Amino acid sequence: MKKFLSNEKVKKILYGILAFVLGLCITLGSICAILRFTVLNKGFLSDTLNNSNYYTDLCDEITDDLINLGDASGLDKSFFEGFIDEVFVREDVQDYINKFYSGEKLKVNPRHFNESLRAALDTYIQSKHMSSKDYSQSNVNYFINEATKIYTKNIELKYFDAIQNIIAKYSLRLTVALVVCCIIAVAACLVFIFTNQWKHKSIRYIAYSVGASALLTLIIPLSVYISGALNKLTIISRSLNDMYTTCLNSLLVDVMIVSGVLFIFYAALIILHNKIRTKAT
Amino acid sequence: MKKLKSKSLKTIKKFTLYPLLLCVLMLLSLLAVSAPFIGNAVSVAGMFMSDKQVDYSKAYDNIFVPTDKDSETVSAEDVEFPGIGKQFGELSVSGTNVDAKLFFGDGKVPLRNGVGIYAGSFIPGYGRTILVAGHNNTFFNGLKNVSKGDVVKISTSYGNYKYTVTGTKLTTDEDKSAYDLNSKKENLILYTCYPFDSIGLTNKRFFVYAEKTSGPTITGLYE
Repeated sequence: MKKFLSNEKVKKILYGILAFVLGLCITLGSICAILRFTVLNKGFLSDTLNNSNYYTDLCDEITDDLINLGDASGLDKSFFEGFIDEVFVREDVQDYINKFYSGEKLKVNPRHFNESLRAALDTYIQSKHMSSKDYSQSNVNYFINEATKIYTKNIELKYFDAIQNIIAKYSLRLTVALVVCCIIAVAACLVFIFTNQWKHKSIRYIAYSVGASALLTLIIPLSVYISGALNKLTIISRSLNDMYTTCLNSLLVDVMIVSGVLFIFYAALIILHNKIRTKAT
Repeated sequence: MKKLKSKSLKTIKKFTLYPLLLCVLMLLSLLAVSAPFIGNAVSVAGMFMSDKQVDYSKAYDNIFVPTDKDSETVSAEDVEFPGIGKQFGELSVSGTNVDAKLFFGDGKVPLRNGVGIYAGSFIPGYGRTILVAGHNNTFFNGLKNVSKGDVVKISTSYGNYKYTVTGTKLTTDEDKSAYDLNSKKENLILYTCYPFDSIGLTNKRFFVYAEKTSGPTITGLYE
């Protein structure tokens, strides 16, 4: 057995397998870490929305839909121009995001919108010198309900209810996978270091794994960018399309950054390997 | 010196080839493990992907070119069938101030800029039902003054049509008997929300019915 283990060829094969496992752990661990600090992080989504045109586009879309409703409800286009307050829209979307991450039932609270619409309608009716005979309160209520439905539908982040289920299901598993990957990676490095008489050899195997991981993590964003998949994204609303594109883009950029860090680490390991080897010889 | 150079080359080779080989092996094994899920993931992603980029602009295409042609028939080959959201004609009603651009499709953009034919119905000349929607506060506001015998004119690039109003009906948006999309006779139905000039919304709809009196029939449609 001892002879078998001391055989250089067998040793090389075993180290090769270990380098493969280490590479997989580094790659999977990196992906888990990226997901943990992006998709599963409330701040990431909020920052992405704040840094994109999401809110401006969303306000335009809500206004557009409401003008359309107004055309069927005796209200001029001017009534809705400037009516949607971006501050309230931001608050309602943020509230929705908070519920998304806290696992609460995803529901929009349109209280602000409802109150503002009722107040604006009262002012409009007064300005037109209309009496209660000129309109039916039930028709006005019907209109307010429809307008609220439009507002709510626009504030809701589409497909987030499905994503929430996935996140709830896999969040813990992702953390466990991250920890397991880290433990295996550290263990593999220790095996390399303590079972090699020549330290530069252990550094070499670790460098192989890091280099392979750097390449693999680079392949993922590159293949997405080269296929042009992001430009093919088709979601019916401009704001949502922007949001999903920006989120995916940020995610891919993060993967590329991690790949870059791994490449730097790889280069450092090569330099270290050469230094130790030169010293040893 | 030569020995040192070959040693450096060997090192470079090692640090390029081995990581590359490992990377390929890792990629293949990851693909093998995720193979059962890849098909589903690609299918789901396909639902949100399209080769054609979505057009979010509020602009619309106009294929309408006025014509003086006065023939009784027009070949389907000579008709440019409108795509959804395209303006392909104009519609006016005598005795009212209804005078609007006519679109195929009754989405947001058409109804903001004129009136639109429901895409599940037919265009003029087809010999079937033409169901046209418009907003009661804008382009179809004038329908409140429509009366029996009024003439609805539709101009398209392939011919000019006239329809005579035969009646009106006030009903709800759930009343499917208000229109017959399977009718084999060319008939025009205009509809809008009700009441006119009042704030608020109801589920009431105001329908105007008209029968074709002149205009070319499109031939060669089912050949």
